[in-house]
This record gives sequence, C-alpha cells and structure tokens, in this order.
Amino acid sequence: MAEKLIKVEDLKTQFTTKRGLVKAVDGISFEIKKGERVGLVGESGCGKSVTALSLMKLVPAAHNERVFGKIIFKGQDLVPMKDSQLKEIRGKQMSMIFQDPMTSLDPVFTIGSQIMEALGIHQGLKGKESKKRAIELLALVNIPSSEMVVDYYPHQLSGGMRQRAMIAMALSCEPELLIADEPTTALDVSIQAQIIKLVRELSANKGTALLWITHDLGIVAHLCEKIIVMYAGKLVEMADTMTLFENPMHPYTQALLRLAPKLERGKGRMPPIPGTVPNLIDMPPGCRFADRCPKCMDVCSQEPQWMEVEPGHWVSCFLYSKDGKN
Amino acid sequence: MGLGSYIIRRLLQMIPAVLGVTVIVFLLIHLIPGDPVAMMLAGEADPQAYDELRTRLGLDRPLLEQYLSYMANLARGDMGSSLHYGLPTTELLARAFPATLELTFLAMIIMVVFSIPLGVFAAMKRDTMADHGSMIVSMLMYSVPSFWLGIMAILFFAGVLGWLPAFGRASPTIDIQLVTGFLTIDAIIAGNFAAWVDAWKHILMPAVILAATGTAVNARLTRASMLEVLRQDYIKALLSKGVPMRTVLFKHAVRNALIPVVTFITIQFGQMLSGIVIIENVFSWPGMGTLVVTAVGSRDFQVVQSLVLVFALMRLSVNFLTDIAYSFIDPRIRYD
Repeated sequence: MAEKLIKVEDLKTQFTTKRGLVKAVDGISFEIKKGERVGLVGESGCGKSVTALSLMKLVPAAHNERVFGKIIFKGQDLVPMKDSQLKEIRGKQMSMIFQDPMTSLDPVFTIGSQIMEALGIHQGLKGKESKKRAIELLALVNIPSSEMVVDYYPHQLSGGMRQRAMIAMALSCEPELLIADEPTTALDVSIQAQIIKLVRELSANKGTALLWITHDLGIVAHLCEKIIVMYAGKLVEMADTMTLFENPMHPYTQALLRLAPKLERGKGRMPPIPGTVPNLIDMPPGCRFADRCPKCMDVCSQEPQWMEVEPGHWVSCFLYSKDGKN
Repeated sequence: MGLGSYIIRRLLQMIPAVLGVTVIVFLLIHLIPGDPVAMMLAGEADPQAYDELRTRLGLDRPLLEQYLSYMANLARGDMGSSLHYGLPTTELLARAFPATLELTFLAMIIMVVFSIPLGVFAAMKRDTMADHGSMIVSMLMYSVPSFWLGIMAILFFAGVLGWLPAFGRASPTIDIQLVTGFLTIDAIIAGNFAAWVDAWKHILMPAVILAATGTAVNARLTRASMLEVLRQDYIKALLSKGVPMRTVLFKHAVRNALIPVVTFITIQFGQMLSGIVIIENVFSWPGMGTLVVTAVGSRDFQVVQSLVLVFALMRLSVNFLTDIAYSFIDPRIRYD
C-alpha cells in the first residue's frame, strides 16, 4: 500500500458573517496517498471549494475565518502554521489551479514572469536559466510556440491556454499534491477534455497526487481512482471509483448517480432530487440530507457516524449503522 | 505595438486638441458680452484711444484673418501685452508660470506620496480602528473647502505659532539668480542655504493645502481599489504558488490597484489647476492664479486669453503623461 501524503482529520472551516456563523466545512476526514488521484464531488455551495482553500490555508481572511482540526501533510500539521512556514509548502509541495483561468493570472505581468516567480522562490532559478525552464514548462503543457508565449500577457491568451499556463505554473516545482478547483468549468467541452487528459498524463508521469474538485461525476469517473462525495459541509461517502459507481450506498450518492445523463435511458425528464441544500448557517442537528432523503428514518435526526462499512468504503448513514435501525 | 509608436500616436492625437484650444481661447475676446474695447478702456471715452486700441487688437479685421495673425504671433512667442501692467504678456508669464508650476508640482508630489501609502495601509488594516480613523480624517479633509483650510492654516502657523510666513514666495531680503524659476531649486544652484530654507517655508503651507482635497479623495480611492484587487482570484493563485504576502501586496496588488488611481490623479490635476486660483490668492502667491484674477478684474483680456491657453496646455500635457504612465502600468492598454 502506498504511503499516505495528506491526512485530514475532523477539518472544520467557519466564517463569521453578519447573519451568523457559517460552517462551510463541518468536520471532514479523509486521506490522499502519494500519487493518488482523488475526486471531491458535490453540488454548488456544499463546501468543496472551501475545503480546497482550507488545505492550502488560503481561506479568504476578510470574514474572520477559522480552520480547526488537523491537516497532516507529510507528517506536519498545517493548521497551526504561519504564512512564513506555509510558503515553503505552497507552490513547492502542494499547489493549486483555479476555476476561472480568466481571473487567476495577474493581468499586468507576463505569463513567463509569473512562472519564473515561483521558480525563483522555490528553486532559486534566475535570469536566462529560469526563462528557459519556463519555456520548457509551457511546452510541457502543450502550449504551441512557447518561446513566444512566455512573453505574452494573460489577456493575449485564450481561456484554455491560460488554464494550461496555470497548470504549468502549478507544476513548475513538481509538487506532490495538485489541488484542482473545478478547473474545467469555465472552458468549453473539447478544451475540457484536453485539459483533463493533460493533467492525467502529467500526474501519472510525475507521480503527483491529485485532488480534483468538481460537480461533474463524469469527469472524476475518467480521471480519479477514489471519489469523495460531499454534502452541506460534510462527507457522505468515500470509495474507490468502481465501487462507488457500482455500489453507491448513501441515498445522496444514489440520487446523484441516477441524475448522471445516460444515453441508454432514452427520453423523459430526469427525476431531480426534491428540496434544496440546507442553509449553512443554523444547520439543524442530525443528518443533513434527511429532509430530501427518500429513506429517511426517525433516527436520522441524530448525527450519523462517518464509518468504514467495507474495506475502503466509507459512508455516513444510519442505513448501514449497527446501532441504527439495521 | 511598441511604446515608441504609441507615444507618437498619442502626440499626433494631441494636435487637434491643441488647435481646438487655440480657437476657443482666440474666440474668448469675442465672447465677452458687449464691446471688449469699450470694456477694456472702461470710462475713458476718448474716441481716438478707442480706435487705436481696436486697431492694435486687430478687431477691425475679418475673423479668420484675426485668428491667423493670432496664431502667427503665437508661433513667434508673441502673446500680446498687458494694458494693466504695460508689459508683454510673455514677460508676465515668465514670472508667474514657474511659480504656479512649482506649487502644483509640489502639491502633486505631496498628494501621491501621502495618498497611495495611506490608502494601501487602510486597505490592509481593513475594518480596524486605524482604517476607520484614517478614512474619517480623509472624509473631513475632503469636505472642508480649501480656502477656509488655507485661512485657518495661516492663522495658526503664521499667526499663532509664527513658524511659517503668511504670504508670498520669498522674503524681500532674499535675492538669488533665477535659473529654473523654481526657488527651491534655484537656491541650491546659487548655493544659498538661507534662501533655500526661506523658499521651503513659503511654499510648504500653500502646497499642503492645495494637495489636501486630492490626497483625501485619492486615499479613499486607493483603499477601495486595493480591496477590489485583493478579492481577485489571482491574489489567491499567487499565494498558492508560495509567493510571500509582502510581495503579493507590494508587487502585484498595488500595481493593479494603481490603474484606476492614475486616472484619478489626472482628474485631480485638473481640479488643482482651478484650486490654484483660490490658493494663490489666499497666500498671495505670485503665480498664474493670482495673475488671472488681477487680469480679469482689470479687464486685461489678452492676459486672460494667454493664461487660459497655458492652463489648457498644462492639462493636455498631464493627460499625455498619464497615458504614457498607463502603458507602463497596464500592458493591456499598449497592446490593444
């Protein structure tokens, strides 16, 4: 079994807002092994982006955010770390690509200088040497005429090219973990496929572990070995990809999979999940999916346990709990 | 497109603006209600003097011919002469222009040097006492009329404390050779330390008062712009690369935040040119602002005309310089 790279234990991220305390991430635990590709799936507002930002300790400081729990990365807990310590990890051992490539590059610096910035900080590369490496990196992510593009400003590139440049930047120091926060959402479908293929190849070649955040089960089915399903700030199910698709246990996962469009299903409307995601402020106690769950029981007003029901298959639901109804 | 061709293109674009200004300035004398010659002579009803002045001003000739001869004179550096002072306008300008320029330059420097760090500081300390405090002070500065502020400053620093002189550019005892026309620089050239200190003492108060409103508004704008930039995804992306917070703030955030601030500084310069008319009069500063008020009061229209032209050209030059500054700050402008 491969060595573990990052272990998240009971991670909670909370914001204080004028309307109250938002528990965006409310006690989640999971692990990523070295070189493993993991998908984090959930609908909008379920806390998956905040999870990604929390792992890098990049939660927006404007809302008095607080991160609790443990994020053990290569044996070190990131939660109590200061910025000065984190900068040794960010970009060097763990890096991130973002949802919107149009806004995630600084518009007033060239692509090259933004890649070279990371090279300078982490590898001490300067001048010509650094530029040569930047050109190589751009070529690595299949950007044509990379020796010209290196001097381009972000606005001179298309969305797909910018996202490639972001990937080049994120991978410039060969990190061990790449966090991708819906990096293909803003791109059209053909570009999306190219980007996924690229990340998959680079991850396999370099042994980079991947945490791919998306609402699209189709993407993670192709890309990831393990899938984590998140709902309203909590994890509901985690299993390897095959198991999750063949034997989804949590009613929410089952509903999500029913909703994935399939050609063979033919005509007719898709049955939506009734109800809406609960408000992250004033969350009711108990299972958060209870209101929308077709299999809801009395016991669901209590908090379900996050437990391993089969080897490697975790779920948080009373249907599978020994002290529940079963 | 390269920087050189961008500069040339912007210079060419200035030509129609400059010509437009000369037409408006030229027409100024014709826009005065009533007979300009009669008004200039005010009361002296001597018909001979009337005809003489009318011929001298060229008002008896066709309009186009008048404009062409006005332009020809202008090209030779002849801006007519002052009836009030009995001197060529250019001579008056040679004295007043450096005085105004020195004051405006210093006020601009004060504004930029104080407002931008203040705005950046307030944005970084967002929602703390320091932030709210500095923003309240700047709101106050913005709300108080500058002439009142000027009078209060004179009362306090010149009257009560006696630290600074109340008016003028230099003490009567100071006598130095004028080279640049900027007393703070000419005193250094002359190697006269006493004159240098004297010049600074005189310019300090009017420059600070002239800069006050702009500094206040600009600090607030810098703060808002900075907060906007700090919300952007690329800030998070930079931090995720391991770029230290200090570099993110001062290399990336400030540069992006300055783009709207530079626009505002240009607008503020325009405001300063009108503010200077008031400030120069409050402090009896012998510049163009004082001159224009005297000239208007004594119906010295040719002088007014020339001053308006110089003010307009100053404004155009600053707009030009701003555009060049933009192309350094924001690559998207040069390459569009």
